[in-house]
Amino acid sequence: MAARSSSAGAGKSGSGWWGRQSNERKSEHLETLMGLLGFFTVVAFVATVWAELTGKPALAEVGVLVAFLAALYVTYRSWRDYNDS
Amino acid sequence: MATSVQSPDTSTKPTPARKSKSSAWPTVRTYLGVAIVVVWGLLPFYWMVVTAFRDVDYTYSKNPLPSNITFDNFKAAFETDAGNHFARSLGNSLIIGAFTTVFAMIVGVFAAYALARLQFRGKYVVLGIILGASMFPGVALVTPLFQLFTDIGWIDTYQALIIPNISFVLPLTIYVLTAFFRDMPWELEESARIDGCTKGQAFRMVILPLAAPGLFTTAILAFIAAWNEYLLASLLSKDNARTVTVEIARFQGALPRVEPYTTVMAAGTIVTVPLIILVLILQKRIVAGLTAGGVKG
Repeated sequence: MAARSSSAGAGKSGSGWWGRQSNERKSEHLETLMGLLGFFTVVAFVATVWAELTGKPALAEVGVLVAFLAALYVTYRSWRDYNDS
Repeated sequence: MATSVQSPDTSTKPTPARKSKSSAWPTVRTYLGVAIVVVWGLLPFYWMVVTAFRDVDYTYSKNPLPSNITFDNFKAAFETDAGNHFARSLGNSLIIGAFTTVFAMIVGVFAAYALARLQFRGKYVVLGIILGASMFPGVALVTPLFQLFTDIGWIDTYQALIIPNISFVLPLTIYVLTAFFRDMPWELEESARIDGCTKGQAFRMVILPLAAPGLFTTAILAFIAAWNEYLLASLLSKDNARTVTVEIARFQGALPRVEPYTTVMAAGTIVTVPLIILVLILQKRIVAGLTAGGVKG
């Protein structure tokens, strides 16, 4: 609770727990999320390539890969916006 | 003077009965909660120990207290007549657990120190990747690993279990140690540097000894994780490298198609003994390690 209130002044004004954190913490969280999504994107990519190379239906794998890529892109944009501001 | 001081005190002071009632309830509540958690956690273990010491004819007895006590089940657990190799699998588990813990700790300490203390680009991306690796379901790895180890002839070897175990234990090790190193004061390292230590010497001679509680706690958590691993061991080991968890699951009794519950319970009791001894020996350090970082000053 003390940590939250102490970091409240340092960051941008906002509402809720997320809004009370400093920009640095937000950037760190977004970086961690990028790593997490990046890991699963690579896994989905390998699974898709493997399915394509072995001639198996790869529609589900491609769908998962696209979803992860979209999520990764959105996270990257948010991270870049925080770092630019 | 005395009366003027005493009179407001007596008027505002709560009655002894009310005070004791209000202060006793939180304590009672705490102990009640602790009792529920302890009973919930220890009841299966207690039942296992009671059944382990019970005569095989009374396997299904509902008596909650120890009765018909015998040590035959422990003797039967180590007998090899029925094709059980409990002692060998106990040794296998010790070897695999020890190697996994040592490797995970060596790599984990350096990785955690770097993540906690060094500033480099993409540090939190690395943490995210480690988090992702720890979230990856083990069951998804079983088939590829089985295929790979069959191809290179590693099935039923120690390395076939140690290497995947390290990959499961390492994220846990890095996460716990990173949090621990992050909470250690920077000033200690800076003082060592001012006194002439290199970065490596400061790490070896100042940081590592101070981090001993955290290292012990993490090592025990890593060992327990490796010791309890079942999924990979059940598919990647046969006779030579079979671990104790798998051995107990396939325990055979003297009679065919009759599950030897009391022998299994005796084996289960024996398996928990090394963990209990380890935790009791390192109890003080574990508590210090678990509580460190809980309060930020």
